[in-house]
Amino acid sequence: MLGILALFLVIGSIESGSRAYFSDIEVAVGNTITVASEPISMVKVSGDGRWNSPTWLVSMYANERKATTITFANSSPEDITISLTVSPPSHDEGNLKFGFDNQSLVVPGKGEASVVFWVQTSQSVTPGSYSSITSIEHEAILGRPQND
Amino acid sequence: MKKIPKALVIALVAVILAVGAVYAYTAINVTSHVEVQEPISIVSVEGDGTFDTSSNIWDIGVIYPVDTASIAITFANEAAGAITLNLSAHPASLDGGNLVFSFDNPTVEVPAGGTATVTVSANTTQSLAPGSYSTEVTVER
Repeated sequence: MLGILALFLVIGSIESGSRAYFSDIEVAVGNTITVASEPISMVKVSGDGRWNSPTWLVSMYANERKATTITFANSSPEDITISLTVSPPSHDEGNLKFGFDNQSLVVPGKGEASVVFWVQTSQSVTPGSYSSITSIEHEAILGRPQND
Repeated sequence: MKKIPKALVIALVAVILAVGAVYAYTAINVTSHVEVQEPISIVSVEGDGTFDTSSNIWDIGVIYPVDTASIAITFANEAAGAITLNLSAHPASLDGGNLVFSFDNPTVEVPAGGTATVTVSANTTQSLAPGSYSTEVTVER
């Protein structure tokens, strides 16, 4: 019992906002816990550039905008709100910027939702190679019974 | 070490199981690689003297006092959007102003996927001292 308590206390950084419930969590005898699967996955990409999963490769000139549409699927029965952040969001003193049409979106339970991810250059951008990392995050609650 | 009462442990576990432990979870990381290329290039140069396209050096050759030499430089824009170019010479004049470099359009817009032409001229006065002169023309977007 103490082990389970300690495990929850270690994991438990409580945050407000939307919450998702893992439906496939097992708390087994012997004070172990197993997270069987991640409910959010990328199922489709389209638009400019090409993908070498999970990397988006884009070639562009100054004063241009390129975009890709990413579709996420939610395998859990509950709606999950995901948030997207890109780091760094800009390069070359702001002459190359990344962004989304929505930084937060709800992926319905057993459904899909899409977001447009774009990169834009100004006329003054310096030729070269630039990289950023986009993190797709959501919140999860351990311990709730599944609803279906 | 003080022992935690068993009843308290059970109560805490019951609360956690009922309320749930919430944590932010990074589901996916996506890396973006962007390769930015220079959209502006010189596609043709016509006029006086010779123009070396590998070094971008315009050799006017011989020019006399009260004379003018010029070249027309055509720029191409590969980008999907129009790009404005600003041209300037450094220095713009030599020999106390007896040799002056100028542009018919110091600011020119090159349309998306199109071209635009700028004429660069070197003008001399009758007081120009014989000798060799050079300047640098900068094209900025």
